[in-house]
Amino acid sequence: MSKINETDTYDAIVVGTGISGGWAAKELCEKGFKTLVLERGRMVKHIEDYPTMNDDPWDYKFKGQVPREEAKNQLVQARTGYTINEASKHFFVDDLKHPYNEVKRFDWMRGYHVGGRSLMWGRHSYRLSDLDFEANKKEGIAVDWPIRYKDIAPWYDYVESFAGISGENLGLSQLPDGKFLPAMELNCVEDHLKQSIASNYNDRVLTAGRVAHITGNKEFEGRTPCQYRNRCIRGCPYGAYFSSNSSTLPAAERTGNMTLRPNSIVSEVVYDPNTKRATGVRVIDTETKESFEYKANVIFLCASAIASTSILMQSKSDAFPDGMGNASGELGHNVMDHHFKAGASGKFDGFHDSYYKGRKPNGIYLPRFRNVNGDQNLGFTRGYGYQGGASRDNWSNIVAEAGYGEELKAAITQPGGWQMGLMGFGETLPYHENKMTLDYNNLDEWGLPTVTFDAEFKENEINMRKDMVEQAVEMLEKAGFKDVKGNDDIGAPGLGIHEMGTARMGRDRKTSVLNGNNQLHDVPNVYVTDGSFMTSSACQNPSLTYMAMTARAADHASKNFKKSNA
Amino acid sequence: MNRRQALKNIGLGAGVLVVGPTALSLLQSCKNDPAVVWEPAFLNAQNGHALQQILEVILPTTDTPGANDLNIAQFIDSYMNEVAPVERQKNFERSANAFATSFKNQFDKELEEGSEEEYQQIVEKYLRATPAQREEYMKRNTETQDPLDTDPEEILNPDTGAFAYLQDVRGMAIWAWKTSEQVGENVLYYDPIPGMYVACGPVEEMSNGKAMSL
Repeated sequence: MSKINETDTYDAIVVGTGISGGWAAKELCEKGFKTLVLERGRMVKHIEDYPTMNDDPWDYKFKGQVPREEAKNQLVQARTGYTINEASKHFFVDDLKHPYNEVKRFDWMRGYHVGGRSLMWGRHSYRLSDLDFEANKKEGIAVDWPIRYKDIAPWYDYVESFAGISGENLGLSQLPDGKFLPAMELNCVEDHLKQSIASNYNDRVLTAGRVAHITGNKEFEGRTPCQYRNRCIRGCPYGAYFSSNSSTLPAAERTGNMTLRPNSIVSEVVYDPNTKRATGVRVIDTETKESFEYKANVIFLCASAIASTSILMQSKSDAFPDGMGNASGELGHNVMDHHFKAGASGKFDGFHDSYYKGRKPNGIYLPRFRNVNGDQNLGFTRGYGYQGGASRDNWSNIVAEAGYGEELKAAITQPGGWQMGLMGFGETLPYHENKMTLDYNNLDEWGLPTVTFDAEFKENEINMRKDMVEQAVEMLEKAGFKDVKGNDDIGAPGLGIHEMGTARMGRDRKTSVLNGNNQLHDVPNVYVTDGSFMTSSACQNPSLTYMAMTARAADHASKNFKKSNA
Repeated sequence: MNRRQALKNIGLGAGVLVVGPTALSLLQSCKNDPAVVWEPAFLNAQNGHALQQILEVILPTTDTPGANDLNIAQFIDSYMNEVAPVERQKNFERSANAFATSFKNQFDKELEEGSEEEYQQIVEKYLRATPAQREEYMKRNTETQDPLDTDPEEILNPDTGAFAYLQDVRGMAIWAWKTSEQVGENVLYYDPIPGMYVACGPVEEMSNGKAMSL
């Protein structure tokens, strides 16, 4: 990349290039802001830097599994069980190079590169509703969201139309409809469960996952529809799913207003006590370890919840001895992640002559049905949704009977029996005592403090999980599935890879970090639009909300802060 | 079967055709294919030889490639050597040794002296065991229910260990076979870029009746 004059002043600085940073870059650039986009990791160019996108299992010596010696550098990242293999491990951090501390276990999954985790995300995209925005206030938990659904609804429309979300409108109050591309159809067994639920329950409905994949005929610049390869995590050469690399960063680039600088760790936001505004950011070049400053009128922190919060904590001054915008003392508190891996699976003895063609990078969604119309006295508040799907790639059932020899060879070349799983994704409440802090005694190789996690799931989550298992078992059994087995593996926070809440929004500067426009209460030209703003977690996958809130905040910034050539 | 050619193809060069002292003694007793000597990286030479014989029974060459056409013994051995966690490594070795003991108990001879028929018999004994027999094999090691989850230092009961070994080898072999290039591209339904999704249709139309390889 071209050499930047380090004294340059920009209209805006965006820190981070994931889901939120990509959107901030696009929106600010399109509104005419000369924007510096900073990314701590390396460059990843769309298509060009997806080295494994076409690999088959046999292209790897161990079919994709990573040799022990190499795996040592990513033991924490490997806690997911699916990310550290030859096809995708290069998009996850080296844990030895990027350590953190765990008072209680926290599975912190990170991708330090241009595009961030938008490159490897799960792509499920759901709107929050007023059931979510009003819940804290109604229940007297934590603080009230400073916004309601009507504030964000047009922005959901806006980001869905650009990102491309396939899905089905259901008219549910708890999961608002959207601007969807054609849904990915349910396969035979998924559809069977849908019909069974429709006839056995009147409080719940099964639908196709709403996922950020292009389907149908609508045109998207530089992107084409899903080819059903299901290799999304490696980067998609078709740009078929939404990522910063395929979608928002190219849009920002097209304006000519973006300067993208990888290998740039932002260590702090610089504050001017006279103007009571941020003047820019301090950056460390990861390669040369040089430190320098960039100036701008407006700063967007989009580095992911934990990282943006760390930057604010590191931004100490006389005005903010405990970190920028932390007069409330809430910065770093209220860490949330969705709790999941509770549900059930079963086998289906039927549809032996049916199969599917193509590998759908998606499954089902069963929207929240608990505590939707008032508290149901279930022993927990809030609710959960299920994701999951049916497939017949599990051949082990047939194979167990087949012994060995020719008989075995015949069995393993046939499609296996059908099986289906339902996995709940539940809301986690914001607990003040669930927190992250900085450890200045353990510095990383750039001399920056490391993050310490002290967070756990509590009674409400644990009680909810029992229901997640019971309901999943019941629905599968009622639909005639066999060998239905419940499962509950609570693990630790972090594994949902939805870190939220550490710089929450609120109406009162004494109890929250951000206002309803994602601005720091105390430093209005600093916006934070990643998961840290979440006042409550809801149970929906949160990325779509980050997109919408980022676009909304960028719109607010464009109306309130100067740009040089406007 | 042209093993030499197959070996060349697979790119698992390390150890292949290196003739060490143990391999030499094996060479003298290997009636089937004296031209190729494989010195395993992880298993001892006897267990390596036995692994090939076992795999020939589990996934023989038919109108589709067999395990030994695809060098699956070499694959399993180097997998255990380089990939498997240390616990699994130890358990694999321990159960391989238990298999060797069981083989000697049954036929009163060393692994490398066993005939094809004898390997057929011992694989049949364990992999066609009735549920009652399986339970019996598992029970003989009383310390734990899962023979692959015991203290690796303990000596396994030969039946328990051999049963666990053959099951493990069988599982590894199926995985390696299905994810080999020859099988993945030519035997199973290979469709790297489907370009479309059909949610539900007849197996024959969807994939020519085959399982999808990807």
